[in-house]
Amino acid sequence: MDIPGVSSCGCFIIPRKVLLRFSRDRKLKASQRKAFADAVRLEKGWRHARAVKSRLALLATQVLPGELGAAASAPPHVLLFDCRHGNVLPGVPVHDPGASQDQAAAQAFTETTEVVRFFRSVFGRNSLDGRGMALLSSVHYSVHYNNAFWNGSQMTYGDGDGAIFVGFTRATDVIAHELTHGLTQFTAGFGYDNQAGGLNESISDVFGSMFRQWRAGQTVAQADWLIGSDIMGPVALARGYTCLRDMANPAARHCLSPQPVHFSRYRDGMDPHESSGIANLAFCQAAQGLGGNSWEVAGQVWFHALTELKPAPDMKMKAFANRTRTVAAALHPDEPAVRKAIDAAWKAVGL
Amino acid sequence: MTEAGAILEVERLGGLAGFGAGGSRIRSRGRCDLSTLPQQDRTIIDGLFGMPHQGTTAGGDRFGIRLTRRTSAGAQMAVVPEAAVPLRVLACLRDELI
Repeated sequence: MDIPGVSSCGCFIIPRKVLLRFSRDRKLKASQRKAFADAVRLEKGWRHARAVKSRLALLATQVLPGELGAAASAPPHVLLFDCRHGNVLPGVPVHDPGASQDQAAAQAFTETTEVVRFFRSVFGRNSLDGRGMALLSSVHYSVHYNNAFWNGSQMTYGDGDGAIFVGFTRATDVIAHELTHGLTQFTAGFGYDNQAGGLNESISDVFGSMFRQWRAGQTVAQADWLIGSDIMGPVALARGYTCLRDMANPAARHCLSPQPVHFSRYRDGMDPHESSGIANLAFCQAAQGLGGNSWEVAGQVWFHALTELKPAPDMKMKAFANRTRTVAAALHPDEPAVRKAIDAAWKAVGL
Repeated sequence: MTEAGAILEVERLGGLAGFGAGGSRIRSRGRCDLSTLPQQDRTIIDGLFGMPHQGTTAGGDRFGIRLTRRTSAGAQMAVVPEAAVPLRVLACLRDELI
């Protein structure tokens, strides 16, 4: 659909009130006003469809009888698209991405497939929705784009500017971090503001780091607990920045974005990438206190805490901490050391 | 009609790296002369001011864009999803370490 002001900027999410205003603006031609009016009808329908899709996915996981579960047990399709440096998603399909000469496409495909295997073999989870939903990833988004994101339906990766960041598909933890936003969306549904936002971001860092450790076969002692170390570009590295965040030492000077290490430093309105440091440190300390591989005990507790209870878009950090304490007691009733390690980790960060 | 010399300051917020977060060493900022933008883009920009704080859209690690419009009448600010901002405005952004 050729909509004035939309096709030229490649925008798909213009606020509805703005579209309405344009549809009534007599300074525009009648054909243009009609185009904006059409966009209003389309936008409303699209948002409704997206909301229905999310609610249906959640409902299906709760009510589908066991025999139908088999139909949802097939592994998900992993699909790759190339934005060719544009801003339109998903872009052009990449055929046989695992064998692609395009390094970004091959990396995104390979690691997304491995994340699927990680969720399935370690946590018994079939894709993000638990029902084998297809996973779409787009690479080469925009120009020198220093970001990767989950947009509610798919993954998107920029190539970085080559100075501060290199291509975002180079980091296994980044790929798993973004996919985990989808896991959170289909389970606990943490919002993206205030404490829930910090938890949302922390969950993504937790599973991102676990996946990176799992891929590398690392124990908690061998892991570096850094987030984004593989996407740091030469200019960032020359300035002494080795990562985006450090789960073991959130306030460290080598982090591009230092974080608080205690809940007493939390403030409403904080960027979730800042407030996530509190829960990040708690997970790291819990896992280190338990030893072995992070995904075996601490990871299981966090996974069950995230996925087995009612959606909580406004979850508070203390409530989530208590949720993990409860899950730890349920999963390990005869192992007080597990409950003790998790309890101590949360207390260390003021929760 | 856009006032001559009216300036639009643009800043990216959030994203995976936490642009503009407290203590963050990475920023993405720029400014452009509103009068040099095409009418379509100026109309879109006009529409983005005066709306309630919108922040980012659904998902994770999306960028929000803080727009500050300075005219002789004063300054107005809005925070909107990146996807709502014309590409010509986003093109003025420069990422930097501070």
